[in-house]
Amino acid sequence: MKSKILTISIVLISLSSALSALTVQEAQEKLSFIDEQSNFDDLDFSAVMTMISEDVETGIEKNVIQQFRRDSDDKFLMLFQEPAVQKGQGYLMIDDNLWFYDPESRKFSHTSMKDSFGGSHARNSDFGESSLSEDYRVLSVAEGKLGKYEVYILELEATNNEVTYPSQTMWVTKSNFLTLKTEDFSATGRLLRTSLFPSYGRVGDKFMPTKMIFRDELIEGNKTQLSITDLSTRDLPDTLFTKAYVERVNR
Amino acid sequence: MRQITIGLLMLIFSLSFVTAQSDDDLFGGNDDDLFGQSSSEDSLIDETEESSESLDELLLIDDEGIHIGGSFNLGISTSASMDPSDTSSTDDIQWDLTPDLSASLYFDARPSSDIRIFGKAVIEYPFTVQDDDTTTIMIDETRNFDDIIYIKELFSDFNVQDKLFFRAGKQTINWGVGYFFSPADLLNLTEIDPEDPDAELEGPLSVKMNMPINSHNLYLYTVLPEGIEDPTDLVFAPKAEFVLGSTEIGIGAYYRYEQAPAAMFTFTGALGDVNIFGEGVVKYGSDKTFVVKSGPTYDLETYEDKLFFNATLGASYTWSSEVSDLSFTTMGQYYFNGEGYSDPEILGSSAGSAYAKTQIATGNLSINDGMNRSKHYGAANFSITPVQDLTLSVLWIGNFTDFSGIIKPGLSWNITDYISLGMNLPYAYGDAGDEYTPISDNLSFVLEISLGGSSF
Repeated sequence: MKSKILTISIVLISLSSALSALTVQEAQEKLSFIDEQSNFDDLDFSAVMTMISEDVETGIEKNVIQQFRRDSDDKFLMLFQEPAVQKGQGYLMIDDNLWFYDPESRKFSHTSMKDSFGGSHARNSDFGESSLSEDYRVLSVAEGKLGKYEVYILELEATNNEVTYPSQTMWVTKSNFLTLKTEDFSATGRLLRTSLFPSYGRVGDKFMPTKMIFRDELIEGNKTQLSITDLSTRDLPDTLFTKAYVERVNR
Repeated sequence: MRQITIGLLMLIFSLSFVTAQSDDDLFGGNDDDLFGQSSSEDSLIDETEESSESLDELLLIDDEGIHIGGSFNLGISTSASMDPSDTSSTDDIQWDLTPDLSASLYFDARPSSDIRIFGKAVIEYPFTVQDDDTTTIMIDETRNFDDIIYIKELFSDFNVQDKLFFRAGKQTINWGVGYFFSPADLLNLTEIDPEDPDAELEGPLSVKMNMPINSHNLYLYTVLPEGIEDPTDLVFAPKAEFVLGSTEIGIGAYYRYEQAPAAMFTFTGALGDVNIFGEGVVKYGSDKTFVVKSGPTYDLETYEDKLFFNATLGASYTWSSEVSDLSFTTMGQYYFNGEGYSDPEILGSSAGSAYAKTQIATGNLSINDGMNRSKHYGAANFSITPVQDLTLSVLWIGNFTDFSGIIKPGLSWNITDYISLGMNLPYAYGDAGDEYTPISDNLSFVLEISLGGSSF
């Protein structure tokens, strides 16, 4: 009797495992789902980000940044509030154009989405609309656990050279495809950065990571922690995503 | 068989734990305080209560009434310069030590979300002016009170129904796109210094109107030049900026009664990872006074009905290593100066130079008339950061007509947050009388230390 129960249990576990397994094709489709649930297609989004960067050489630095997004029009605006030396600096993105505003020279200059964000271990591309399904193809899918969470582990390869990282490994929860962790690799396959997303906020039917940890894998001890507060999806004025607004709010 | 199956399952489960081991702590392993103890995936998710405050409005209002800030800078530089062709004696080495103490103070008042008033003043050492009283120390015969304390900016921002935005007052104007040279910048009171291209420019008293239309912008500047007494002295400068793909194009014009009108064109964009920028300016007449040869002597000439064309083209590229702090930035720019002399020897020859000095002394010629005397210039900068806080750079500025120029290798090192060290070795090359070597070529060594500089 005991052996029958054990056999049935094993069969059920195996069946359950087989049923929950994703094919590469299905995982590719899930990338679109991940994009959809983290993008605010029909809504404006605003939040306050507090970024604490730990650098083994320069110590701890704190930045406070206001973030505004309108994903439906491919627009975002990031404004530095702290520290004082960076107050007024801003990044404005409209379609394919990203401007950096320097309040000292009062000049707007084009900059690349790949650039480091404010000297931290985060990148400009970490803050825009998610476009995983466009930028990456799934190479393989595995199942696993990350801490107490059942996850799919997706290996991704870039489909274009516009992305910051040529390949990534992602840990996403099985139940609702929230990204818990990514490992970002160079073209040569070297691990450059690990990103961790230990908490999310639900805004309507959308999910936004409210805590992110970016760990530099090249220099041990270097990391950046991002906390997001004051989330809002209330409508933003059209004039917010303009150079005029950036100039008005700076010092 | 059953044992093998159970063994395989255990092995699979064990492996999945091993692969995630390093970050298990973050997700419920041992770091429960940070990541919660529940095994439910819902513990990942907070039901977020949306902020009741409008962040975009908050940024435009200062509840404290007024915000005060500024910056402080103290630098000490010492330099030694010599004629490198004369190595026979060290007596000709000129030693110099210069303190540089300055501070800026600004206020930013936002009584409501649709208006703000901003002012910024600068104070610079030495705090002494020229004085007729011979008992006082005369630091600099040309130094006045407004060289010690001056208003950098003083303006008000307001708008009409969030559609038409105004900035009225003394303000730096964002007009050209060039880095080392910006012939399209016809409005600011100071020009870009190619040796310090990031320095803040001083703008005029003006009213800027800006109407954003999607990602495009329309501007109209009305400038009140210094000493204005008559409405005919007003300057009008409209400009339109269009975004086409990943390129931004600017078209503008400059008009002042009885001065050379001008039209300008700018663009910024990218070719792959290389950022490119350019400017073109057409002027009907020139506001400069030219020295011309008149038989064996010289004369002064102005051109009011001749077309002048100035243009510049530049590019920049930044690369950073994926595996270290190593990064480099390079930037180059060519400048065609249509208001330059076809034969710069007119000012470079001893007779021409002497004539120009006499005319400057009598007020018939300004110092600006003698600046940028060639038609072709170039500038480039290469900087590399091998490790954090240390930057090595080489700056070059050159005149392509008389082939004089300056090459300046240097390094800067941020020793701590508030102490930095800079060293550079500028070498001005060319023949005597050339633009960058009016007397002779010259080699200098400059050591700068900055102490306690910060913003607040």
